[in-house]
Amino acid sequence: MRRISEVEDELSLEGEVLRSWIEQRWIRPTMDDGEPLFDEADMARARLIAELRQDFNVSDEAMPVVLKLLDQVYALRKALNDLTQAIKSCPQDVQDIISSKLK
Amino acid sequence: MRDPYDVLGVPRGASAEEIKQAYRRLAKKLHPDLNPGNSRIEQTFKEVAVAHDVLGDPESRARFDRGEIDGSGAERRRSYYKNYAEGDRGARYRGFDGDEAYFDDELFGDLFRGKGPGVRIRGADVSYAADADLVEAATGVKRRLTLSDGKILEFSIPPGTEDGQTLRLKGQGRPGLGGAPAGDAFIEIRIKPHPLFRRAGDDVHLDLSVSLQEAVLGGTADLPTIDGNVTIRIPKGVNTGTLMRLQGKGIVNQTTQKRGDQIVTLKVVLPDVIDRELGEFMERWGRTHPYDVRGKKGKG
Repeated sequence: MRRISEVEDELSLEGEVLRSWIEQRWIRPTMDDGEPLFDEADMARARLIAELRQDFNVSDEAMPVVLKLLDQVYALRKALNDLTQAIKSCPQDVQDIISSKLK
Repeated sequence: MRDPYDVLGVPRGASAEEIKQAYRRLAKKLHPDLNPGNSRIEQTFKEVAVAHDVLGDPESRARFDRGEIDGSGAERRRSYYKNYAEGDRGARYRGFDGDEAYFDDELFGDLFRGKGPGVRIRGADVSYAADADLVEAATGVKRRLTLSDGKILEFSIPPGTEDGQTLRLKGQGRPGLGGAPAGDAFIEIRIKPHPLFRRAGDDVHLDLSVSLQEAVLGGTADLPTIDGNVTIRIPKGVNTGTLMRLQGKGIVNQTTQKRGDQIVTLKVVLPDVIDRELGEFMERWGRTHPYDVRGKKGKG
């Protein structure tokens, strides 16, 4: 778990930038007595947002759209993965029927 | 190892700005978080990132141009968001703005509509982590976490919890669909180092300083345990490294429910200043009481 100052140092973020991301709910770390605690997923997401701003010139206005679309892609990938697992657990003949329908 | 100039597609005389532009152009196309599930693109992005590490910094670029370093630089150790996005840890971000997950309803609801009693899907599990200090984890403590969706989770860290141990809170994950049960919340407990105590299995270790008088003549000392302060008797003639065991003052073993011990390691501390009286006494005493501390113990 990382404290907010550690994340700021690691990503070279100035001032209140990271706190504003949390306020806008771009990152949602766990709050422990009002102090944000970043796990690896929060950290990786903060790094991604930092890169989208610095390397991709994504503006703060455009960021929510980008994140929303990204989150939908990942939610969709998760749903498709779950569906794949469900199909894999079906009897072989059911799998064969589904496979032939997809051709 | 490919030449970093080739990887970025810039001539050797390119300006710093051209290198930055080339990197940004490639990164936009190749960033792994924007191309999940394509390991070939991830590999290419790594090459681009390494090339940018070498050429993006004027100093390391100059060293590369002089042939002092190869094009590999040092590969950045990092983890991508995509590695978490589809797992438990990413669950909080799959419904943006704290909504329910995007697709569960429409996708599967549509698929199974009109077939029997309707689809029932158990809610997803979620994972969180919480810090505790050694004493809290040893004696047990109640904690309250505000989750990313605003929900408040109250739970007890049971006595004897170890670093990295995961608590399972049944039914505290995401809600289920169609009346199916909610998922579970998993909370990994991270134990912060303590300024005084160290944990070794079920035992708690503590260093205790004793004065020269106490070491020679014995005495009493107050010292902290995980239950609070206690007074112990120091026997005559203790040494640096002498161990004292306070039985049952250690940590509860979660399997056997028995408590470990507190092990106190004594450390003899001389006064800050060796005054004349002590010096003269030692000289007199030493002449008539020589003793060998190295040969006997085989230490240097």
